[in-house]
This record gives sequence, C-alpha cells and structure tokens, in this order.
Amino acid sequence: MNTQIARRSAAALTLMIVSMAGTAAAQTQVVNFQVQGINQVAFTSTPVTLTITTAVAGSDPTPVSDASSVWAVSTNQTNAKISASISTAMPAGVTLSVALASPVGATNAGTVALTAVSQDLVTNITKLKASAQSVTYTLGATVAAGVIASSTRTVTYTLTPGT
Amino acid sequence: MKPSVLCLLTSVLLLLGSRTGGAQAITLSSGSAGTLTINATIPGLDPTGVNSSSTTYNVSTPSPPGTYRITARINQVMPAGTTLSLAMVAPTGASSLGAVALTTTAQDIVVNIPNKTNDGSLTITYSFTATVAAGVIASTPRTITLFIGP
Repeated sequence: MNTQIARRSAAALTLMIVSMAGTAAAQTQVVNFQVQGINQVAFTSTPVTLTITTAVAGSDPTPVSDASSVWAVSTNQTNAKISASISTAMPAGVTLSVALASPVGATNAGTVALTAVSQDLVTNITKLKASAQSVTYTLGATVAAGVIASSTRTVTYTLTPGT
Repeated sequence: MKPSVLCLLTSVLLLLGSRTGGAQAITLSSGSAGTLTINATIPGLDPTGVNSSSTTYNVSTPSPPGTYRITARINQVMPAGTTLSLAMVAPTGASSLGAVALTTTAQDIVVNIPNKTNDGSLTITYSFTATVAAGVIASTPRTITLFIGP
C-alpha cells in the first residue's frame, strides 16, 4: 500500500517537474488597426510658358507644347479620377490643351482642351501609386486669334476619390 | 510510506518551490496598445505608416543557469498588403531584434535575456504599414501573445 502511494506520488511529482521545466510566462495585448480612404495628387508647380511664333504658309500658326511638368498620385480606393479646369476661358481662337500620362490600369482621355468647366483627364484610377507621370500642355491658335500678349491661366486639377 | 521516500518527496517539493518563486515573467503596462490609423500619404508613394509606443513591459528571469527570450505572434494573419510589426526595447544585457513583422508563428523579439534580470518600463512599439493595394480597412483587432521562455 505504502509502496503504491509512494509510486503515485513520485509519478505525480515527475509530471509536475516536467511541467515546471516548460514553464514560461505569456501575456496578451490587443492592437486595433485601420486604413482610411487616401487620395492624394500632386503636380509640379513651376509655371509653364507657351509662345506661338511660327506658321507654315497657308496654315494656322504652329502649335507649341511643353512636357516639363510631372504629376503623381496615390489612392487606395477604386475608380478615382482626375479632372482639370482653367480659371477663365481662353481667348477666341486659342486653345490650351493638356494630356496626362496615366498609370497602368487607369483610363486616359488623351489630349483635352481645357475650359472653365472641369473635365475628366484620367479615370478608373484604382488602388495604385504612380510618380513622375508626364504632363503635356499644348497651345494652339488660329490666325483669327490675332496677336495676344502674355496671359496667364491657372489650371486646377481635382482628384475625386473613388469608393 | 517509507521515511526515505518522504524525505525524497520533501526535497523535490522544496526544489520546486524555489523554481516556482523565480520563474521568468513578463508583465505589460496595458492589455491594449490602442488603435493604429493610417490616413495619409505622399503622392506617388504607399500610405504613410504609423507607430504606437504607448505601452511598456517589465521582465524578470530566475537565477542561473540559462538565458531567456521573448517571442510574439498574432492570433490571425494580417490583411493582404498590410504589416503589423513589433519592436521591444531590450533589458540590460539582452538584444532586441528591432521591428519584427508579426505572423501567426511565434518569432523572436528579444533574445539573450540574462538570468536574474529584473527590468521595467521598457518600451513596446507597434508599427502598421499598408500598400495602396490594401485598400480601405475598417478598424480590426489583433491579439498579440508575448511569451518569455528559455
């Protein structure tokens, strides 16, 4: 009887020792995380000057272009878009157009004549980031536009968040 | 029961008692590290990651021999395109592995913690990053299990 008790006690102690050998303290901590909708766009702000000075005989003056500007975008939403407008309408016979290079997956409207009403340039911008995308401005004029002194237009770009 | 057996059992119990009193332990200043919210970016880049160092921990280890380590794991994998990292300031004599991206598999965070360590108010820093592809994510919890062992 005593021998049985001793054996059981020894067995129990052995289990306790094994358990103690593996003892380690554990603690838990809860972290919450979230990502909000993020839509950011940036354009280089260096002024661009476009000057029309030549023509081919028999044609309207030769348009000029400038591709020195770039733009960048980040969005973590779906179907964001970029639109643009100018502060005041262009003089009669004069057209200021812009074309944005677009990131892979987005839809590009190509060269768009700017007006005082906002127009879409790039759409379907979905969960992407892109930088150093070119911006090309083009100024065209008809002979009927005549001579125009240096004028300024501010182009406003708007990134409309998706969903 | 024979006296010799009783003597043996008593000795073992005393030994166990001494081990129990000096077991390694980690204690957190809070069970919650708050909420990490990403809400900004620089155009052309992924969203700007955020950090939280709002909590601390205390650590103690028993008498020689051996060294100890702290491991951590999360209870569920992170959403695609996101990373939750953990860095813990190491107690004196130990080494921190810096910011470690947490997974459901326990990973070393602090190693070579000397025996007889009793250090406190050590900073815990969580970092949360996300790519644009991760999209919008509503507030989501993860439970981090911190474990100290040999």
